[in-house]
Amino acid sequence: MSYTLQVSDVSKRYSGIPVVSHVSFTACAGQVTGYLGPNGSGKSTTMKIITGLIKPDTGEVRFAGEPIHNNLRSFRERLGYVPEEPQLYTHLSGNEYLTMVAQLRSLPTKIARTRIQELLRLFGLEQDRDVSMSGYSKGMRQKVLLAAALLHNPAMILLDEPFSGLDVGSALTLRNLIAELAARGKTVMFSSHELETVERICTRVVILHRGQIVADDDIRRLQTLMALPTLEGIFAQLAIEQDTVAIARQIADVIDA
Amino acid sequence: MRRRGNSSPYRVLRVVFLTRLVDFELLAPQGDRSNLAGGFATMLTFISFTITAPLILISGLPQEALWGMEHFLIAVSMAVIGLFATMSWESIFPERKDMLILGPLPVRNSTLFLAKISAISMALGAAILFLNSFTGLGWALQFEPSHGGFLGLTRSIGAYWTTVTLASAFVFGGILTIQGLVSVLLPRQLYLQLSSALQMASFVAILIDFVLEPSLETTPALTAAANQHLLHEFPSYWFLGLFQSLNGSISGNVHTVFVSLAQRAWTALAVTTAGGLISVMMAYVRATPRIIEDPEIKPALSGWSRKIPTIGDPLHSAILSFSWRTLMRSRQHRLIMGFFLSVGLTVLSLTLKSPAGGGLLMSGSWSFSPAFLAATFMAIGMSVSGTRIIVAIPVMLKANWIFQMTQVHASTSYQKATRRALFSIGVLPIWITVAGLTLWKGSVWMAAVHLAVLGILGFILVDASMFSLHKLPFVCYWMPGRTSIVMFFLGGMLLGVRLAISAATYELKLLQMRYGGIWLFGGLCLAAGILHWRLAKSDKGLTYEEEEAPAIISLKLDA
Repeated sequence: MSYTLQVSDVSKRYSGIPVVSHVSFTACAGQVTGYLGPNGSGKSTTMKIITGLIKPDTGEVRFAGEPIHNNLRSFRERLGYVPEEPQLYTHLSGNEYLTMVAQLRSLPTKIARTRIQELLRLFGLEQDRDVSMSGYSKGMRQKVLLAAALLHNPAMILLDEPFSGLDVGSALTLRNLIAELAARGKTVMFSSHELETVERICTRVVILHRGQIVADDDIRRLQTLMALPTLEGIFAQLAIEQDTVAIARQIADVIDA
Repeated sequence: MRRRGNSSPYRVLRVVFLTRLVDFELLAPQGDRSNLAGGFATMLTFISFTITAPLILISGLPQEALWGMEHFLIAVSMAVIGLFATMSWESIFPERKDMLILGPLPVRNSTLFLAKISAISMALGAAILFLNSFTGLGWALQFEPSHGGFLGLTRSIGAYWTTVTLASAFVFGGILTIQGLVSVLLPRQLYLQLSSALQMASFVAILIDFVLEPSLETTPALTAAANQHLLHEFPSYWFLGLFQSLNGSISGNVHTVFVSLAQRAWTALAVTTAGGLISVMMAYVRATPRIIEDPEIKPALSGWSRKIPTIGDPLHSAILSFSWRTLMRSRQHRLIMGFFLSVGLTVLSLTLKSPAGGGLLMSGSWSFSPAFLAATFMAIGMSVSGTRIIVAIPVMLKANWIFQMTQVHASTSYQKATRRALFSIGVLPIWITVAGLTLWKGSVWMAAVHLAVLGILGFILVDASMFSLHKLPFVCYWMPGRTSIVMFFLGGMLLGVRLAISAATYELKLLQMRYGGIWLFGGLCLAAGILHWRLAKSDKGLTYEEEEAPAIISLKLDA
């Protein structure tokens, strides 16, 4: 079975204002799809629509050929998700949180225990496994979220700005992990502002601007088509309307005045 | 005229700390803080009114009945303040986020300290005021020793308010002393680990003291040599002595006893007030810099809440562990639970213990009397109601997505898991306590039947409380900001007391009949079965109210 994600003509409005408009793209198994866009472009809303947390006003999301809302439970069994903000129950320890997630997913106890132990060790959280997460740094919380998303060996992994808060070493590990998961046949989709990372590990990118897709292609093809050497250049041309240099100068002028 | 912008840091911080005693972010969108605070105030005032209302029909109570009522009112105030103070345990110390935000600002530590103490004192003061709003006038006038005219009445009212205020200050000071001393004497990491256990121990000690203190408000009991050690052990009697002393109502054989108790009250008050202030100030000086210096990582969680056993089905284990851990570790939830339990305890005590309520427990016995059985029914009812209210207050709304994302079971499985969690929190602790008491004091057969009845009653109450609950415990709102919840609880308590007494009398009759126990048990099982079937049929799936917050808000100018 091909675990392909198809987003077809998805739109979402809040108070009548379109946040996502007629978004369509495909993320294939074995590939890493980057989902890019400036702040407020509708990335996280699309991600939440894909998880089923939000229902679109129009359009549909299909996974492995089946609309996800036909059997949301089955879809969620195969989905791993890291949200944009590391929102966790901080009165629990990392170990307790992961155990709870494993139990909610009804993973067999023995498998869950082994995986939690190993994931905590590999993410460098073993020492603090029984410490309340209220004392965790942002990066540590992000690692717990990553571990929770991978615990049940999902077929599809959705990562909304997963590098947020991670130190250099952890970010490099995650970069390799994403590539490794795709190489093992999983459908990986992630959004990030780190264009260099996206350029290195993504097979294709979808660029969103003001709720609409402005590019959806292989990175190399985009570079050739637009005659731009970097993804940063492509992104700047498609999704940034401001003169960033001028704005920076004006800010400095304001505080100097 | 003071301009708003000119408020001193002390005033600003006091208001901030006062509003933070209960986390108002937990309120439902339909609720608001004034509503919730108003609800609590109404409940305490209503209790005060209920205690005072019988005075319309009663007059010329004998001296010993008045002593009983005086003692009861002092003990209630002390218990309520004690439970509040215990539940707001760590509020006295600055939080890390306070230090990070206020640290760079020109705010002195002493200002912070005074604002914290003042905010907590104001909250406790308001609780005393509302709890005694009617009793402080109605009963205080009854306590006048009938020889002083207008001045005597004024003195009686003054003595009453002074006594309940000082008794509450004693309890608050005592709790502050314990906290401060432990914080000063123990290394900070160890203090952080032991703090919760100590808080729970204090909470239980206050409850036990209130429930188990003997009724010694008669001349023979007060003067008996054998009772002197008891009188000197229970602080509420010290303040009864203080009240007599301030009210000028000491005379006769009990003169020496009350004088001695009053002296003890003054000494204890001086010790706890000074002890509380000095130890907490020392703890402040010692702890404040360390809060900032604390490593990011807090000490490992300790205690039994870490070791909650799995119970077969992983989903049930997850919901059960999450519920218990939240209750054990969330100060807000413990505070509100403590409030409802203390109010319930007051109503229960009013009916079963006080002379105004019939004095069913005046003997202080807990054998198989209707009063004892009724108390156990009420305890279960109160605990389930309190639990039902508490589980409807979310612990961290933004983290709820994980329950939605992991919702891979049928909704009936979540309903069963929630039911089990409610039963374990609301019924099991009370059932175990009652089991201990009944097996210790009563016959094994009667204890077994009563425990079975109590268990089934627990199931019935839990099922009944779940009819409108299509949510997971501590995950979603159940409109905690609405006054109706508070009034619902209070109304239920008042009605429940009468029902419990009738049920207890009926149970006792059946237990004395041949096969009566079996009939009773069978009938309850049938009722529980029907209710459970209805509950299963009413399943509408899990709901989560929180909608995605719109990133853009339309002003609808084009409308």
